[in-house]
Amino acid sequence: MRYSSHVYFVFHLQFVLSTLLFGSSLGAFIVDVSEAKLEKALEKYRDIVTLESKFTQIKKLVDTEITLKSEGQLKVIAPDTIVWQIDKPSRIVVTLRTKEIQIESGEGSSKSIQKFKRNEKSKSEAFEKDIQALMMWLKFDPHALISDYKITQSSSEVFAFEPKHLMIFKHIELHLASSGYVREMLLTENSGDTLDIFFDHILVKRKEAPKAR
Amino acid sequence: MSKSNFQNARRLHFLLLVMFIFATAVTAVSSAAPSWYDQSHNIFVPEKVKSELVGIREFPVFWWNFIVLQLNEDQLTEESAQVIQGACRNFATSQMENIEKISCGFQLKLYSELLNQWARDYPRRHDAPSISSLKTSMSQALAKASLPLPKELLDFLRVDPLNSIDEFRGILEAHSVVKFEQFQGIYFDRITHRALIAVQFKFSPAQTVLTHETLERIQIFCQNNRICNSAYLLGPHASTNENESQIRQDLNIVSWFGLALLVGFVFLVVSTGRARLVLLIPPLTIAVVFSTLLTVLVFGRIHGLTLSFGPGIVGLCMHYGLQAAFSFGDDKRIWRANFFGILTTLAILLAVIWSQIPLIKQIMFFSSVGLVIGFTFFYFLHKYFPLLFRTRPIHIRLPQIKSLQILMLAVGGFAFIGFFMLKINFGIQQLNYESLKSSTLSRWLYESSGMTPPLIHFFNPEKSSQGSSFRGILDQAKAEQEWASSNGLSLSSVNEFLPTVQEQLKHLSTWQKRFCSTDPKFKPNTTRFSLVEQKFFAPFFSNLECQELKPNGLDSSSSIPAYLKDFSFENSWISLWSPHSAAEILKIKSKYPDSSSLSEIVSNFPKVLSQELIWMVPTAFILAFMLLIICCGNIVTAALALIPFFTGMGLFYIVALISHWPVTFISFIGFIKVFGFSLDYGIFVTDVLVATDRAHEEGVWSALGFNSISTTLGFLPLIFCAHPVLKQLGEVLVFGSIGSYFGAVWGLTPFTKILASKRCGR
Repeated sequence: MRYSSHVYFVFHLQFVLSTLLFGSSLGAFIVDVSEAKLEKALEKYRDIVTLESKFTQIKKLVDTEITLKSEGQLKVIAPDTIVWQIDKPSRIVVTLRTKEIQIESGEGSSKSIQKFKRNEKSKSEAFEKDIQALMMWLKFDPHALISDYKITQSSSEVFAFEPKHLMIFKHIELHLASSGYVREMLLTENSGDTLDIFFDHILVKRKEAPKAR
Repeated sequence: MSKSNFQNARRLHFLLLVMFIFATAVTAVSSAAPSWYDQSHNIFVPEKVKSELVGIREFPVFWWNFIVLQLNEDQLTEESAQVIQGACRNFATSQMENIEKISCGFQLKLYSELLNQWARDYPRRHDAPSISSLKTSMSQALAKASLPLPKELLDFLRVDPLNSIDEFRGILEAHSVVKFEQFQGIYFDRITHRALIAVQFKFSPAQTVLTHETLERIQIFCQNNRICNSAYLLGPHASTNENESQIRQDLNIVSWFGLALLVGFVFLVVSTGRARLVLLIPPLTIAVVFSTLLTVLVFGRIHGLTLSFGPGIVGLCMHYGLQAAFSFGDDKRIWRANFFGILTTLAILLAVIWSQIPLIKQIMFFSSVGLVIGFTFFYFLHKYFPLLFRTRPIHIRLPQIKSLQILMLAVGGFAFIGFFMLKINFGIQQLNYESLKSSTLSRWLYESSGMTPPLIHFFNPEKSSQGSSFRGILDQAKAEQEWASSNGLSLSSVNEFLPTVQEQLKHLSTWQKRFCSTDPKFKPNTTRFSLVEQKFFAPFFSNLECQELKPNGLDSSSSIPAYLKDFSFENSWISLWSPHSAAEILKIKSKYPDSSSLSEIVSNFPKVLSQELIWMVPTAFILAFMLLIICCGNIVTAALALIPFFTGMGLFYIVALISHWPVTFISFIGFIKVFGFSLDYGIFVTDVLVATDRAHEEGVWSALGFNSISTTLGFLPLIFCAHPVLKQLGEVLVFGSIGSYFGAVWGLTPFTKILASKRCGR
């Protein structure tokens, strides 16, 4: 097949334009994020006493192309308690504390509670590393995040995180709502499975500012 | 050169050529076929006990060891416990190929095959749940699966929506034998500041190379944290490895000493103008090599201990060579004495060869063959090359002192008293080497942890009246379990993990009814489940394939599930009773008389040996004494010829009594050699003392002294060995040799007048 010179010109123009556009988008939108900038972006999570939110999470298993949907509630109680409660398809409550993890599943006679002691200092253990990473994420702690991740920003409300060392997630994306709270968090596991969490109905209680004398 | 000299030179060249070819061939064969070398511990065990004892070592349920950590801190904190648990989990992950189970956490990676089979067999253990109940369980599993999870856990949720993993964990935890305070699989003793981790290896204790590799990993257990300062392994694997390492270490030293002694011997005889004596070594070496080959031919393999101790007994024929080398008198007389010397030694070897203990049998065979070959060699070499070895006697003769003569007779007399005073212990434990550290830790573990030894009940399906297959085992285990439950006794058996075929059929029928009612030949009916459930739990549903819903053990082709491996070895099965009192032991034994504890099984060894010795020792003694009577021509001389034996035994008994040495199975092997050379001394010395022509007297004393010094020095390093087997052998041989020599020198001379009136050796 032979193309006319006009077609070649259009192709060429498209290539040049797309290259220019791509280049400019790189320069304009994907930028490294400093700690101050991240702290500012997540300032709504500062001085929190309690935070409650409903969530919907969608897990996609790449090998089997299965999509698992679940709904539940997140509760963060300062300084060190996070409750991740799934209500649908079945009740399961994971409570993360500095010294302990508790998993409560089932209801009525089939209810079971498992408790695991944990040691924050035992960074050598893969399990403990994963738990610490999770806690860090659910608390949106900018100081901790900046030390363990390379953070970039592709738009004013989207932040991407690449771990500096091997962790349970190989890529994380945070989407902020206009209110300043996290609207969506997309976690990509090392296996390639993804977990997309959408937060809704966020209720926050903050420390009261000291009254001026 | 005269004709006879020429012929002698040709003979010598031919002899050297044959020896060279032989040595080359043996070197080539030995390097090409190392499989003939046996290092196993089975050789200690009589055939009667072997099936049980060796069997026990092969059952993986007995492959549990304990990692003991000596903690740095005075007070155990929760934090340090967590650090240990983390280190333990890392260790388990790095040693997955060697570890079957470990107490510090239930790691899915480690139990993958076992748990998958356990989940697969859920329908064989339980009735089918209702669809709504199954759907509830599936919802719970799906909720868990929606969390960020490691891949292996996610995959397992797909096979196990009914959470059978908790059931398995419950069974394992119920059988924890250690009663220490526990924190997630790590046991703590606050008094000694020690932590304990139970670990079951995938390999048998005999595979010491693997144990050694794992031990190296355990040694660095404490290097990466400040919680503990040393890590130690206790248990069957650790003990086998420790024994083997110590024997190797000891034998290395002994071998170097032996080499130094050989060099010293060569230097001594060359420097004193008796270089010809060196020629006594090659025939002896050939006898040992021939004996080795024949032993391999008869027994299939030769054990390291036979090769260590056997040449020592074969070395007795060096004495016959020395007698001939130093004698310038009546050759016929010398060889007649030599002949009766070897016959008396063979008498005891041949009596003991009937032992049921394979090691004794093999050593006796090796020694008898070696002695006969060595003797024959020396005889014919002496006959055809009379000048080959003959050399001037060495003046080794101690002065006759009255008090020493009396002392030696007293020492000889003590042999009778000492036999009753000494602590005789033929237990296998006496052959076990335990370093001070191991011994301290073992004692601590068994005394403080509250561990009670189980009663083992062996069950062979072929002998069972309840069936000739795995099915019979399941029935037997069920019957045992029922009896245990009705009597409030604790039992660990296959029944906890898999019910009888009949019960499995009952459970499976409920699953078939629920899932295979439409078409029992095809796939399970899953239409009542959502698409997500069908897809996510596809591995679970594949285990419910209608045609596969058959009980395990129904036919002979049934494979044994991995979770039952602990209880089976080849065609044998065991169950373990855990009695908590003497009354419970009695109760179990009255119902199952063939159940026994490990210590009871092991105690069969001394029982067998003691029973054998009751007839072997008198038989050997009577045989040897009859030969002495034939040799000496009268009972009195024959009885006197036994004096060196009694002084040898007496001296050993005295030293053993003072030093609190036990008389063991190894001492017994040593006694055989003492018996051999002391009777030789008795025959040679009485032969001299009754002779009217004493031309050969100097030669006899030279050979006796030379032989005694080389035996004493040769076995002296064994006394300093750490391993009890080598140490005990050294003790008997060194003091037996000294006592026999002094008995021959000072014990027999007081009877010169009596002997002069008799005739011996003719």
